[in-house]
Amino acid sequence: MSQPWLRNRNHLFALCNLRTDGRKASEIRRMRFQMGVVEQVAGSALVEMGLTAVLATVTGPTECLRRADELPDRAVLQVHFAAAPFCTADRKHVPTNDRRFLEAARLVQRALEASIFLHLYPRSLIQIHITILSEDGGRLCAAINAASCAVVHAGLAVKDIVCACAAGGVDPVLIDLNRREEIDNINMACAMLPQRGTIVLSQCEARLPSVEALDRVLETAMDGCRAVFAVMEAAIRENAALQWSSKRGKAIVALSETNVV
Amino acid sequence: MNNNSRLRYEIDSFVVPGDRLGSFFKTTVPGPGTSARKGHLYASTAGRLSIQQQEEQSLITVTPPHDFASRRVITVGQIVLAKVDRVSWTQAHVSIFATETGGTLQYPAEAIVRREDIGSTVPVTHTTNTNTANNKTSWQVIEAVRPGDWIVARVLSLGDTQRYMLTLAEPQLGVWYALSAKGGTVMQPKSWNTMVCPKTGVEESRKCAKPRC
Repeated sequence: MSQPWLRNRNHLFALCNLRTDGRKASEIRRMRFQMGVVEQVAGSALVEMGLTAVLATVTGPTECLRRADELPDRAVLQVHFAAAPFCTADRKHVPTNDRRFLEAARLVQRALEASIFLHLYPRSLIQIHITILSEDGGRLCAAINAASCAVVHAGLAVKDIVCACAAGGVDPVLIDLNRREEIDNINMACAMLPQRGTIVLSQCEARLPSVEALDRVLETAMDGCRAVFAVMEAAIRENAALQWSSKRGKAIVALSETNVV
Repeated sequence: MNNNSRLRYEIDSFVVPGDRLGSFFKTTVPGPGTSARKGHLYASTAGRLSIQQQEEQSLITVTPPHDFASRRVITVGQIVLAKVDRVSWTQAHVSIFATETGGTLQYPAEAIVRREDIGSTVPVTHTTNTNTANNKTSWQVIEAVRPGDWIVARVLSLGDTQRYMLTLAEPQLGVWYALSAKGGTVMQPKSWNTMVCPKTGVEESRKCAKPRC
């Protein structure tokens, strides 16, 4: 960088084995969960992981828009992925049928299908709309976390709360990479059902140097998921309690914590 | 109660999905909001834990604060409550709001009642004339139902890509609630084919549902 004061700070961080945003290698970003932010839909959640903010809304179960799409024994889960034009530093309008978004939507769909009891809602449609409001790395993971929270807020029956976190880098293995780190390092996104210990998604686009490296990165990502779960679970529990006490009131619960793995 | 000690969480406490509630016995069975796996009960929604006593079994239930996602499925042969949206020469377009056994739907479903399915204008219980298409004694749709009326109908079929098909061709089916055209007061059924406004005494033609006592 050209600014000398930033250059100096990075040297300081490197000296203490800290990352560019002052975190340790095994530290996830500050997280904030808000549920019930959109009133018109069945469930909604706004999740912030560091500076990445994602909004997810769940509509349904409803009649399928096209009868031809409906399945007789289970629900159809549709995920729409979009990014606001102001989510990155440069204002950019990205069309919704962008290939990366379609892929991300498909990944979120498969991660959540592993958790939702779809057979309880035959012939119906569950729609999840995900909007990236602010992007600073880990958007797929934040999207899965937001969708998972919104699904629980909507009251859909799920096996477990899906939690996602990314890990990367070879030595040391970093947890919850921000945008700058994603560019430089291997980045593996992982989503799991933390109380069951099952991985529902793991995605990596870079090449890993060895199988042992894969083991390490995956293990670290799973630890990150468990840390995310600790915060998400507390937020969901508090939200449920608040909503019960306010009956039909609009309770927005925001819970933020930094967790060291 | 004996069963309290078997649950890992207090009754009326808040649980999140995935919480292991306890073991699955013959007497403690999973109820709404829970699921069973490998002999254990798990919560599947975020909500309040409770026990419903049913004869010899205790139903472990987790109730979410808002019952958003319990969609009531519409099945063939079910009686439904619908509101008439618009009426044409051949059919009436309605929106189903509730089912008799399931309760209110979260989102209303579209349906139609065809002219042939409204019934006969002659109140006979048996007829040899099975050709309903040419049956001159079939109702005119606008004289049977009007937009804004609430009707009780039976689901004939799941229909085509857009809408369910309903029928009114039974004595207990028909208009349940209607407002008079002039004053907007709630009308009372006078006979199977007439409703009367209690204020003005004006009669309007409707295919009335048999009142339930």
